[in-house]
Amino acid sequence: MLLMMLTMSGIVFLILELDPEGVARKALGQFSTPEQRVAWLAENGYFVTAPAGASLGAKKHEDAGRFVYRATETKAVVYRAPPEGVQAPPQRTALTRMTPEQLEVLRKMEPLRISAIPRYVKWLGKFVSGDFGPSYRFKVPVAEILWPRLKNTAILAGTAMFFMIILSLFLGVMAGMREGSLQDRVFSVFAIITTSVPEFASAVLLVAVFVFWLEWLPGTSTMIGGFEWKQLVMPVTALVLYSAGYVARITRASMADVMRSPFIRTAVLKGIPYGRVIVRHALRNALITPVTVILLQLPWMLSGVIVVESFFAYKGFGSLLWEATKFDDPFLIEACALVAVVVVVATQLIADIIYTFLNPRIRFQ
Amino acid sequence: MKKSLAAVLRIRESGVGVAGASICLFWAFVAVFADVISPFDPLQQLSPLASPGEAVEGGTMLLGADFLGRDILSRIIHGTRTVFIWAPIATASAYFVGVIFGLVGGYYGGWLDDVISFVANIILAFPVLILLILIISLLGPSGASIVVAVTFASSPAVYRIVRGEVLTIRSRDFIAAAKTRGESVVYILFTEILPNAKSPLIVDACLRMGYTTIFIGILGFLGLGFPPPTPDWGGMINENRSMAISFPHMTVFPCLAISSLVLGLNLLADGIREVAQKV
Amino acid sequence: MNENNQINPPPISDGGGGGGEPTNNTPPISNGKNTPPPSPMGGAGGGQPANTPPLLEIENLNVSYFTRKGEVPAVLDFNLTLNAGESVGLVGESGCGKSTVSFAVMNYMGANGAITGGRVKFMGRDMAEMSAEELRDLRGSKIAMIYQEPFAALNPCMTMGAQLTEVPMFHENISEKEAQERAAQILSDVRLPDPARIMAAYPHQLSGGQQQRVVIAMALLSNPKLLLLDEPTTALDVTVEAAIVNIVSSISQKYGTAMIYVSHNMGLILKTCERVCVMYSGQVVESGEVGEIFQNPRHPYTRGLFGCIPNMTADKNSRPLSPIRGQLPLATERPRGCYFGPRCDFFEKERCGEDLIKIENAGGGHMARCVKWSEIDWAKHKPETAQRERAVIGETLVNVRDMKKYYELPSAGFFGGAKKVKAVQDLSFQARQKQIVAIVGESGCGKSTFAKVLMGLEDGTGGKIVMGDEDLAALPVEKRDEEMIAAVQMVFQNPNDTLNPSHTVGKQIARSIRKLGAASGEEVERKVDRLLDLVKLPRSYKHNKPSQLSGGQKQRIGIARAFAGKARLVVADEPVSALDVSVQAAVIDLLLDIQASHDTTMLFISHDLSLVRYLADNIIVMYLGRIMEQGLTKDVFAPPYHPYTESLLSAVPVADHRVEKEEIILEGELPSPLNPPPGCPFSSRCPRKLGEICDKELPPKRDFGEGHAIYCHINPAELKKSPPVFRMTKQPPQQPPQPSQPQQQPQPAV
Repeated sequence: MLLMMLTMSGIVFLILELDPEGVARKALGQFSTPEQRVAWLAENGYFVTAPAGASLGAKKHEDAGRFVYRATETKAVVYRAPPEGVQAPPQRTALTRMTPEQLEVLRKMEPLRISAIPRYVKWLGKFVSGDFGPSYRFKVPVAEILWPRLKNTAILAGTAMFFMIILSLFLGVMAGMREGSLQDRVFSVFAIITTSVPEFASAVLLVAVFVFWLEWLPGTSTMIGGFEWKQLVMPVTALVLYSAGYVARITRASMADVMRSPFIRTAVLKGIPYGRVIVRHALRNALITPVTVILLQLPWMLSGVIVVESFFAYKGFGSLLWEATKFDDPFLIEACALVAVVVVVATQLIADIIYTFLNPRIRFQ
Repeated sequence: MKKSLAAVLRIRESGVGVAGASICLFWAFVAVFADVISPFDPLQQLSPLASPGEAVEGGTMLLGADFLGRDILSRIIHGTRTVFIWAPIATASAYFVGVIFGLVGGYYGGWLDDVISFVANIILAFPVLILLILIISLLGPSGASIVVAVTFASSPAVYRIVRGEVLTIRSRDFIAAAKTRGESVVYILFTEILPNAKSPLIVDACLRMGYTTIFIGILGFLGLGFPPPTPDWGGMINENRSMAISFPHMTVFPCLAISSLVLGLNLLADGIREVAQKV
Repeated sequence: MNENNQINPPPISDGGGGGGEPTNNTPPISNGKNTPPPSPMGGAGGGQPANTPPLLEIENLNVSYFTRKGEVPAVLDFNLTLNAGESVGLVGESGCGKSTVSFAVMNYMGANGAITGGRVKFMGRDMAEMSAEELRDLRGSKIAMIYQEPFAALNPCMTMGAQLTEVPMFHENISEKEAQERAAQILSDVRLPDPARIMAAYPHQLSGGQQQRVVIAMALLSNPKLLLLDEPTTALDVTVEAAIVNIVSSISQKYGTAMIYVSHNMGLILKTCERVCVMYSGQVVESGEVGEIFQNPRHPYTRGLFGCIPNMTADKNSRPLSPIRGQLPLATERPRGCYFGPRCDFFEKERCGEDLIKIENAGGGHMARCVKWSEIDWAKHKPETAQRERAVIGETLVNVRDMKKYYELPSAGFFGGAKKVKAVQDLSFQARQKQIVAIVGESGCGKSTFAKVLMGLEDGTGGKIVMGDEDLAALPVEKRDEEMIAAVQMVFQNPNDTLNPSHTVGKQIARSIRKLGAASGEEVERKVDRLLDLVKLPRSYKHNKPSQLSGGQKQRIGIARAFAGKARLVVADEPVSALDVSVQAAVIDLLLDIQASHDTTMLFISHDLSLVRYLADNIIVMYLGRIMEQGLTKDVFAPPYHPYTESLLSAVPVADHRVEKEEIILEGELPSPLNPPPGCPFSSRCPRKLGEICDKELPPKRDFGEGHAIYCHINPAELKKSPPVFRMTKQPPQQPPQPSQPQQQPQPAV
């Protein structure tokens, strides 16, 4: 599990953080100067730095061939040696006080980056300790807006999961119990249609029917005037419809499979009442697959949450991530991605536990 | 040639399959003849906010117009092309990667398989959309980055299917027979194993094409798809969603287009599965 | 409640929308539903009327399955009367409808099957007229069933205790505690030690034999009047099978339970039943007392079947098999007239090929479905059999010395290192040119593992397999040259697996020809034709995909492929174990012919002792990875025996009423290869165990000359004393061989 978490965060790191200049550009905007980016990177710990004014004498053997320049008021950045034949600027000059020629030389020199692995460790450590960095879009620390948004999403996704589980298991079991019956066929049509309509489409269609045509429900879920269940109906419905169809299809297949199995035949031929055959013999076997699938649906629901929240302007985690992406807010994106990692790993863990509980074959090995 | 045509035509044996195939063929027809059948130029700004059925110069806007006055029907028709070009490319690319890794991982097993499977499981467990968003935000929105993103997000699922198939097939006697007559690994993988994994892969390819269509739609919807003014179904919903409550026609019809195409693909997949099981 | 739906499902819709019991298409006398006889008993249970009806009456039963292609009749015109305490066997090859009959007795036809005609009456009541509730009452209490695959028949998520106790709890309304006591009692009746542990276990924690005993216990819990056994031992090893059969017969005697025993194995029926119905393609072709049928079979099919079964007392040279030609007909492609017609030597178009054949009384209770049953002079009839000369054995071709193969299992827990499975240990033998060496043993004995090492599919852990100048154990197939690859070829076990379903037969044979260097260019096509001729298949089959071939035909292609190059050694790993008896004989004959004409050495791997007895020159008996006994076939099958060989021989059901044998029933289960006994591997089950020495020390090799060796602690003189397992009892004809139980019941109209 830990390995999984590390790998996932590693992938996030690879995608988002491997290119520090890109991060700096996102943080400072398209029109920032190279010097500003260098300064930003130095400030945020992407380069090998020394405290301003520190003497390099003691570290000379290490830094042979490198020159140190004062980059900002507080930190100095270590640069590689200049190209051959170029006179390097004198040490410890603040960027702001350099002549144009000196700056030109400086651009040809490469600031000494901290390599990816120690940077990853440092980066992960920062997040683990709860320091998510600032949000450039919202002008506040990321943590400050992330937690309330997460709470909202927990409400939305939790409600959706609740209804999805009940609906899909009920329909799936009912359909799978009697393969080929009318209830099975009706259900299958329903399931295949709902799985074909993605959340954003069902959101649009729901709005058209219930908001525009019937005028029963509000079309947005901003919750500006405080929490309102009514505003939750539409986003929850959109989420439930899409994933319930999928889970129900799996439940149905699993149930139908079990009902065809020889041990159900044994139970029937033992003369046990039909109700007990279903409840005691079929259900537990049939639920092994769907339950794990349901838990793995949770991360998938995070995808749906992004769409649904941004459509209904619900102030949750999904719309936060979407805004962060749209406005290139690097630390906010990273924080959101890592939250997703935690959710995924946690659900995997729970799924494993439940699976072991349901399936005695695993338990006793 | 005749035989493969017969195999394709066997889809007739399944009612569901026929329904799915007809929907897909309908959209394919629309994509091919988009220029001929679309009543207006999809980029031409005619009558802003026109409601469905409104007559303008040069014809009737059957499905109305968007806020810039572009004909919705024509944009949907041309948007078909966008989907029919990029969804197959992205799916094929995911398949290429997934099949190669799946064959190799499943056949050799051992640590190689462990490593590939571990990475694949991680990518699969991660919320797809977040992954897509991260990748697109890294590469910037374009057709190529959609292909890369879909490949990254979908190939692990393909890998899993291929690997599973390889694991069952490789333990069968005809593989041992091939080994005992001295066949090379490449021959075994591509001539002995792959053809026998054909039918689950074709079924999955249909489903996956549906997912890819949805992905492209979602990305368009989130404004991360094709840059405007490309007619793109998801993008159309995005452009008009601020007015979805007052002018639902702008968003409802593209939604129906996407949903029906995905439904067609899903039905087709069900049909193929049904037909394949009957052999 | 719509329980009816579940228990008696309607035919699926595209079958023509008929009701539950369409009767219109049944050829023979249809007693239909128009005149339902008044029920002799008012309610369920009830007291017996003075004139006790037979326990079970099946009248003109017709069962069909409804598929997309339409109605497929599975059972046609089946009649049977069974009194309390009687046992009857249903015997036949795959697809003959024998299992369908047993499920029809339970009135359980699955989702797409239906009784299309006739009646099943249990204790005088028509089961079709019972309500769902009444049926449920019968099932599990009055009629119980034992299934072919015990593992699949048990619920993987419930403990054995829970699955056992629910039977009496629902049928007799007793308390859980009482039910548990009774379950424990029955478990010890079926000789399962430590019932408490078994009750707490899940199915996957038990061995196959233990699972089947639990299923038997489950069936006996409510003391049923009728027990249905559907191939109860087919999935089990032969020594375990013997123990199960023993339990079943002792229990039916103890409780007076009537039995219907469904099996493909004639020997088992002979051992367990009083009467037998021989089925072919949905019909009973012959029925009667077991002794009478075995001694004096009237139907050409029954005769043919006996001719196909290798006899424990003869080999290929003294009594060659006489295969039945052709294939079993598919249920959808039954011929007109007699279903056996196309395979019958006495077929006459006018008499046999037109109308459906009626079953006729051939004297006493002996019934035969053949118009010529009284005319055929069996004494004159000499079926075509291959006459074989004893092969001249040549030089040593393969020399196996101390071969070992260990597998490492990944460790299950965090602690405890990797476990080693010692699949093959210290295997040594020689195989000479033109010789057939058989390795025989039950599952897990290492016989197939050895084949894999020999073929280069896996590396040996130690020892040598010397062939020519090369050590095959150290030469994986990738490193072998073309000549070596062509020289060592294999025939595989499973006909459905041996050919790649995606390519045509011709392509696959051609590929083998090219890879084995037998021909190239245009020559290949001609060679494909020649190989098809060799295995006696039409040349046109090269355009077929494997799915268009029957099991026996696929095995023929597999044989053709193995002999595509110049094979000097062919490994045949259970090549006919998945085939029906009547097809098996033909494939074996073919294999022997080709082996002899190509001067090939064959390593024949099998669990089937009668088959091995029939064809092998030399035999190696293995148990849990070690050799128990080896030697010439005649020596292995005669005293002195290794105690394991002796019990193995005793366990084999013999389909010959003249053979009598020693009864040795092994207690206990086959130990897991993961955790074999430290001394002699057989010590945990050995009926002649000496004591501690067997548990602790590997047995010494006892040499009896001519290469006959036994690995056992018992001293050779003692071993020589044991009597032969088989004795031929030469009996005058026309006399039943055994005093078959309560003689002359009121002759049942079978």
